[in-house]
Amino acid sequence: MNGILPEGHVLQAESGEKITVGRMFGAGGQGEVYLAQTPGGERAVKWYYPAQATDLQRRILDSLIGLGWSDDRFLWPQSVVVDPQRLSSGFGYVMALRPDRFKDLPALFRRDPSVSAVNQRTLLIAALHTVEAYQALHARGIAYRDINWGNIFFDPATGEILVCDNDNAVFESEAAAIAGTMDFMAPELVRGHPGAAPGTQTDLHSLAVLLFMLFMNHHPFQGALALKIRCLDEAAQRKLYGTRPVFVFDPDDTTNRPVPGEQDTVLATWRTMPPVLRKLFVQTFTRGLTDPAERVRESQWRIALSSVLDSVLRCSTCDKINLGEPGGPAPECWKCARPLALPQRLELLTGVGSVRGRREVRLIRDGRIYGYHLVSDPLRHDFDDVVGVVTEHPNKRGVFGLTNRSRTAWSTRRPDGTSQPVPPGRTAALRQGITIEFGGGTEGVVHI
Amino acid sequence: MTDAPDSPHWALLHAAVKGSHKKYSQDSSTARLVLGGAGALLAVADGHGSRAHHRSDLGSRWAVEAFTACALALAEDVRRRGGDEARWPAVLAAARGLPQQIVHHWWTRMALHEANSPAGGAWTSGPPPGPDPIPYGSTLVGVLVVGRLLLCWQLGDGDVVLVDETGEPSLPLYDGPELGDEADSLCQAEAWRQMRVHWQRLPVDRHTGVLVSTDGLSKSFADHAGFVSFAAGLRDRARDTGLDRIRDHLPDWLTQAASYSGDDSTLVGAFPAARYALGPQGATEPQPAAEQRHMAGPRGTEGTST
Repeated sequence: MNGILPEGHVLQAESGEKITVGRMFGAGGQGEVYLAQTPGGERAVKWYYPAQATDLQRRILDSLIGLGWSDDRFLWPQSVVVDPQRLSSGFGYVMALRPDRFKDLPALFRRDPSVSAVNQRTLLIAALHTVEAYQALHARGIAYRDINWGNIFFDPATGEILVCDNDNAVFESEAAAIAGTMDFMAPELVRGHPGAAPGTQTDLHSLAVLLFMLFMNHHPFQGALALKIRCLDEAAQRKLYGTRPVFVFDPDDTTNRPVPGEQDTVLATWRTMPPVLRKLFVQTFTRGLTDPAERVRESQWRIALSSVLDSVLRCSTCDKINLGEPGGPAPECWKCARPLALPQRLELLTGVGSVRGRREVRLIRDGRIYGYHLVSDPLRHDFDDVVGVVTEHPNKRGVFGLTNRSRTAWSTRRPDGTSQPVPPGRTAALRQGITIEFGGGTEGVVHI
Repeated sequence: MTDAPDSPHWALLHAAVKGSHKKYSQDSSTARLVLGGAGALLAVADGHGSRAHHRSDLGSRWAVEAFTACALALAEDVRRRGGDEARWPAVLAAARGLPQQIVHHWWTRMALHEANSPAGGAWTSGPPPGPDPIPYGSTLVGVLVVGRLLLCWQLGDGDVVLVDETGEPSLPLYDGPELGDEADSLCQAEAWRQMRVHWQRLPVDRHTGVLVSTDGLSKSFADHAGFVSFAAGLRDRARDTGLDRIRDHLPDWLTQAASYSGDDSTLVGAFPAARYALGPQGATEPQPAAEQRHMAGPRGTEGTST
């Protein structure tokens, strides 16, 4: 692929370091991305098209780099680079290379073999990470402004995510170089509504579109109405996403339903969604279209996604992972259509004193209890911090226990008042009414 | 940048030949100027041709028609935006959405034909089955270039090759050799999901040409490197002798290629008119293949020699 910069061309970072341009491996609406050799090793360089290399974009970059953000969920701009030979005017920036295990969403949409490890649980985890990543930005007063399917990458095996193209994020109320991609933009921005400006509130709409696409592999406004259009040109996009957006599953407006035969995936994936998530999508894509205050906030997404993650079920017939409704009845398996059995649940009470958090975790085979389960308001969901694993008894099929993978001893308390220690590496039997004390005031009660 | 120029910015190539052992070709193609010559639209479609896909000549024709209709609308959209690169993100969003529109148009055309003339014959009892797309299976490769913006779409096999004046040709959508004969097709469920999209900004000083071909051409070479070498040779000849000479010889070369692969072979292309010698302009139809001659064919190191 040939780009603006020839291979072997030498750029200069602001620090004076020489950056040697390698092959071009990507191009977007704003610029091109190249492999690059730096004194610190291999990196990526994004080089802006001349029309995009504006003073405003430069100021935004300087501001972002000045922040020194080191969150591993973001490929943050590290240093501005210029061309000392003036072969190409303008500038670019250096960022870390995306590890190969992170795949893009189009690979998921087309069921590429590279994402075959993905399942509904890892998609949930990816969604949670995505929400928390944007929440971390918004908590700092930074709006991303260009959330779309092109700048999120995910590890299909673990659900970890990587947010790229962070060069349009700005502090709330500051001018941005880009308003977003129209299919992800809040309707008031698409319409050019007076007073509407990209910010954290409009990011919430874009985030909901991204989550919908992650789960449903389809755009929430591209149903029958979109198929009547020959090309989604500017006028068509303005109508579809701005002046008359209709959610494909709007309960009161069926004009934009997915077309069977041509859009079957979204029909099938929507059926697998637990009602708690469906309600949030309906809310944000109906009332939230006209009233930004009705848009689902990150904290709401976070609670709902986390509770669904705790309600994941495994089909005993085909072994497929299914999403269960928290506290709800067992659905049919999306794959084999057999009724799923509800496994034991662990009712967790966290915290101390009068303010106690409560949540329930379905104890499926190989299920995990994580550190975040044991605190009331975890900062983020860390899936490396495993404290317990649901294991099957080696000699008694169908009998399960919770193996202590933490560094501290637990204790169990039976309904008759007797107790037993569970040191690290040992397993607590999961029987009706048993209480497991995890320490720090957190305890869990097993229910059949 | 995208206003109609006084003379076309692009000069076109277009040739197609029937496979050496075939009764008729299942390839379809088009190469046409758009926006008064400010842009070019190229498309090839390769009907699968086997017994299961016995109407794939129709499928490939509708594929090219659907692509042309949708890409022309997109070209108009680019023109309306005035070629402003700052607005490319919205253009690219439209480009990403185009596969669904293309497949929908193809599907609608196929369903209409099936309703009037079911490939499996008229049903005799029970409710009528839905349209069966399998007999119409086809690939599709399309390119739209307007100003400096190059957009490519590909479903199934086929090749897009960019040739400029620096270095080796590049194949932006090539992802390695096909394993077996299973190619993505318009007849599969939600085919639009499998359609790959590529865009890039063409450097103005490198005079990039674009070649689009069905796999009947690339398969006629011993390996892919041979095909890339053929593309580079085409560029060199276009530069040295002009596109008119290329047009004269292209049917012969494709005929030679078809004798090796046995498959239909189609090649369309667009080159910057100001850089390469000019020939007849405007929309083209495939040039008839000349009688096969004994000559050094595309297979080999200097594939374009006559």
